[in-house]
Order: sequence, then C-alpha cells, then structure tokens
Amino acid sequence: MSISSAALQIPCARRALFPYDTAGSPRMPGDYTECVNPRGDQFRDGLTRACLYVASSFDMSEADSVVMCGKTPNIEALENFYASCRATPTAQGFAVATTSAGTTSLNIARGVRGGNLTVSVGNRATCTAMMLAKIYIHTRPGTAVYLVLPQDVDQGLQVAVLEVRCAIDGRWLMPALKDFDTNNHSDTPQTFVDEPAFLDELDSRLSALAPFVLGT
Amino acid sequence: MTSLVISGLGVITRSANDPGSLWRYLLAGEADFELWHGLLDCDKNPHVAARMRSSRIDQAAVFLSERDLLKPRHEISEMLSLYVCLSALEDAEIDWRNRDLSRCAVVIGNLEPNSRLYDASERREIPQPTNSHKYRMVSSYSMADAVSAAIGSNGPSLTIHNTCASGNNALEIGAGLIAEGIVDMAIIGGVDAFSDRIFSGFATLGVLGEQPCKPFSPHRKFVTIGDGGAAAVLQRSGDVSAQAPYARLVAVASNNDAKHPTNLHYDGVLACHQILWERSGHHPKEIGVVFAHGTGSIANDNVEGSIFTDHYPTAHIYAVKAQTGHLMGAAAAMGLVGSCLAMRTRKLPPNLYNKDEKFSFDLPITVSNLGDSRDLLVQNNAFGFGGINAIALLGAVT
Repeated sequence: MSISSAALQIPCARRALFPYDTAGSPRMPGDYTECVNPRGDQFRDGLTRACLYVASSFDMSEADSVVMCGKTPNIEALENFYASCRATPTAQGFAVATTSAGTTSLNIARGVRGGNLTVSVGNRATCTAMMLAKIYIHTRPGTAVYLVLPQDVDQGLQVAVLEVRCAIDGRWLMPALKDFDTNNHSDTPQTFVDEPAFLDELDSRLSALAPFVLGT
Repeated sequence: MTSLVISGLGVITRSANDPGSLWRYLLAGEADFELWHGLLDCDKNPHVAARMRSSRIDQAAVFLSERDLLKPRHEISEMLSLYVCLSALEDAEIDWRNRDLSRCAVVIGNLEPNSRLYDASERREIPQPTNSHKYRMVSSYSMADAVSAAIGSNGPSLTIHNTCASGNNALEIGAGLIAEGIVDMAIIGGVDAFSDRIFSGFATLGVLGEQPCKPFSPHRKFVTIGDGGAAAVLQRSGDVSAQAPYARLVAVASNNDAKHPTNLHYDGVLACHQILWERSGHHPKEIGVVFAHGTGSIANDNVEGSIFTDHYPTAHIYAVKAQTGHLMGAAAAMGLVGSCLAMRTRKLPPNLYNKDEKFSFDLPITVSNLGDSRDLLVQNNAFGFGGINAIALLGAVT
C-alpha cells in the first residue's frame, strides 16, 4: 500500500533552536523556568533541558512513550560528571549523568510510563525514529509516541519533538510539521531561529519514507 | 505471530570469552573479582570490581585480526561489539562473510560509549580535545555500524542507550523490526567497557565496597561493577541453520517507572511484569526460572525480591551478577545469554550466597537440574537508572 504524502498528517510537532553560549552549552529561552520544573535543573545537561522545554507544550498521557534518535545521546551529562569527579561529585549529579537522561527526564517529569528509548544512529535519525515509532505503537495500542530528534548544528542545538499516533482505522497519522509558536517567546527572539532547511529536510525525508513506514 | 528463536550466542567478560566457557564457569560456582582503585580524585579507595583483563581484550583483538577486521584505532566498545556479534553469528552457523545479510538489523545496547577514551582523556594519557564540544569526538553509533559494515547489512543499525536495561530493549526492538517485516533477522546484545566515571558514580551512591555483591542476601550491600559484552542472533524459526536454536522468544515487555532517577519503584516494575504476562499469555506461576536483575543493592533487591515473593512462588531465582559482576549496558544481554544456556542445558548455576545464608526473601532454594519439560519458561529481568524496566520471556524450542 502506498500512500501519498498529501494524505499524511501528524497531530503536533514542535521544534526549537538553542544557540550555544561561550562555554559551549545551549542557552535556554527566557520562559524556561515557567515551562520546566526547575527542581534539580543544575544537574541537567543542555540536551535534557532542551527536550523538557520543547516537549512542555504537549499534553502527554501516562501510557505514552518517548523515543529519542540522534547522532549522540546525552554525552554532555557524562562529561559534566567527569568534570565534577575532580572536585565534589554528588549522587544527584551521577543519577542524571546517563546517556538516556533526555528521555528518562521526560518520563519522570511528565509521568510518562509507556516506555522510553534513546538511540544513536548517526545521520539516519529521522527514518529510524519513524520505524521505532511504528514498533512502539503496534506494541502499545492506543498510545502516542513522542519522537525527540536532536541535531547539533552550527548555530546551536536544535531539538524537534513530534507526536505520532495511530488513527482509529489503523492507518498512521504522519507529520505535517507546524512551526514552533515563537510569539509566545517574544522576549528571546534570538533563541528561536527559523531553520527552513531543517524543516524541508525533515518533511522530504518523512514524505519519502511514508510508503515504507506505512507498509502493507 | 511469527515464531522467533535465538540461534546463536556470543559473550565476553572477565571470566569467559564464549558461551561454553561462561557456562562452565557459572556452573562451577566461581567468582573472579579484583580490587580496583578508581583513578578519579573522588574515589581513591579500592573496591571490588569485575574489570576485564587486558589479556581478555587482546583475545578479542586476535579474533578480529584473524578475520581482517582489526583497525589500528578501534575503540574498545566497538571492538567488543564486533567480537560478540560475529561470535554469535558463527555460533548460529551463519557464514557472515559469504551469506547475504543485507536484511539483518544490528541492535546493541550500551550505557557509556567510548568510556576508555574518556578515561584516558581524564588521566591525560591522550591529548584533551580543545573543542568545547568534546562529545563531537564520540560516535556511539559506531558500535552497531561497525558490525553492520562487517556483515554487509543494509538494515537498521542502532546503538541503544537505555542504561542497564539496554540489552532487553535491544531484544524488543530487534523482534519488532522482524515482526514489522523491515528485516529478516537481527543481532541484538549489549556492550559496555569499564568506566572510571561509572565506578566513581556508584561510589557516590555508597554502594561500592570491599565485598562482592550478594544478591538477595540479608547481608547484601554492595554492587560489583564489571564490563563486557553479550549478543544473540534472533531469527524466524524457519530460517535457522543446522544446529538447534537455544530458545524461543515468547515475549518482551518494557516500560518506565517515571518516579526516580536511580531507585526502582515497585508499582512500575510490577507493571512491566504484568505487561509481560499479558503479552505472553502466561501466568507467573508457570515460569520456572528467573534470571533476576539482582544487583545486590538494597534498593533493587527489595523491589525485585518482593515481586518474586508476591507472584513467583515456585520459580527458581538466579542472579548472575554474583559471579560476573554488573556489566552495566551489557547486563541484560548477559542475563539473556545465561537464560538461553539454562534452557538448552537444563541446568542452573548455584546462587553463591545461598550456601551459607538464607535469602532475605521467601524464595525457593535454587535447583541445579531443571528437568526436561517442554513447557519450561525462563524469564530475564533488567532494570536501569531512569526508571527503565525491560523483561524477556523465553520458552523451549518446539
């Protein structure tokens, strides 16, 4: 069965670009603490913060799942703990210094219990993410999978979060990307830079992938 | 649903470098550990560890060299991934050099990529990267990609980072890729090289010590950190080569506690069990053996032991970490290899600390002989930081 890209839709997609500061860490927008619980934030790495922020506008349910596909997992978290080992390492710091900190922090912060997966796949993240979403949805009927797609770009760390669901008739609802609502973040316009190339690439990859993912 | 079987195994640890030597070591009730000095400033005291000797890693290098796959700058995790995955293929009697494996997925679980590179960097044994984004030098996906390249796979190659549950998550994804028709077979497993960061991190939790781990013992206190790798070949039953498969994959389940970054939560772990029971169609009283996650920590064993007491009145509980140490991202895959070997040989190694001490929980005494019932079911538990739970259930090949 081949379905044209025009027939595909996804309920929701959010993305944001977080420019690196001089220390090389992604800068968070001004309303970060309004969107993300600041408790324990000093132990989070930039990727985890970005995930929590971009995903904050989604209405996640307990049975849903989180899948992250990217070139590298939460390596910054590991490096932060390495650095702390030379001074005063803490159990709290070690607890979140894992390569899966981005997804598990979302699980814990949002009460998402369906599962989580953090996958390193180099440059094939988007296609792989859709395959994994299909597996998760088929093994967890009636739930949503939140795909987290981080990308390390010249301007900073870019994170897209896509909500993927299965339609009532069993057919997939696929992405029709919607821009992040930058109007809600007017105090930090420099933080959210339009990246049409990224969106175009994502759109074209997903469109090309659609017949494969939808299968027969 | 298509019947999936495990047809080949590969393993490397401090104590063994193939399934046969591992099983002899475990059945003999041995425990090979050493005292390890953490090299970071925060952790100067020696603690018991199960770190692979350099001679063991050299064996993996020779294995790869004999197959013209050894590169001058192989990172250890990448090398171990190649070793266990190719060993598993050869154990399954699959001629990976000549057979078309373009539709074979490679799914490898891992906790910390390139740990020894990081350790060497921290010890100033290699130049520190000047780029502020040091992590750009790391490509953890190379673990799976190296295997894919070696066998000529076009299928997905994934490195999964789901802490200590990674191997069972890899099994779930490998099975899913076959079930969806995306690939015809999958090599799944877990690999983790020893990390001073992990070692020091567990020291901050106060769970490292001068005594090895004692899973489910009333005197349990410590976790024994180790390293290594394990892999399995997952195929449709009709596609298997000459030898008899080890076991049939009955079901895999995973979820997340969504409660605490380190400690297990009873409700979440029980929920994962319930998903497994539902997917498999089996009641826990039908399950004969459980390869427990059994880290020996107070927190893990309290939750896991309580679930065994409440729901598994007749299952024999075995904790491999008392003999191999906790292999971190490879722990679940090690449990899977042990589960397969128990299913094939119908034997179960002794729980070391059940000889002189009773379990802290009301668990049945472990037997050494499992009988020849075709209904034997073996469960493999794995739980990790971040509330990650993943459990696999194996059955006999019919």
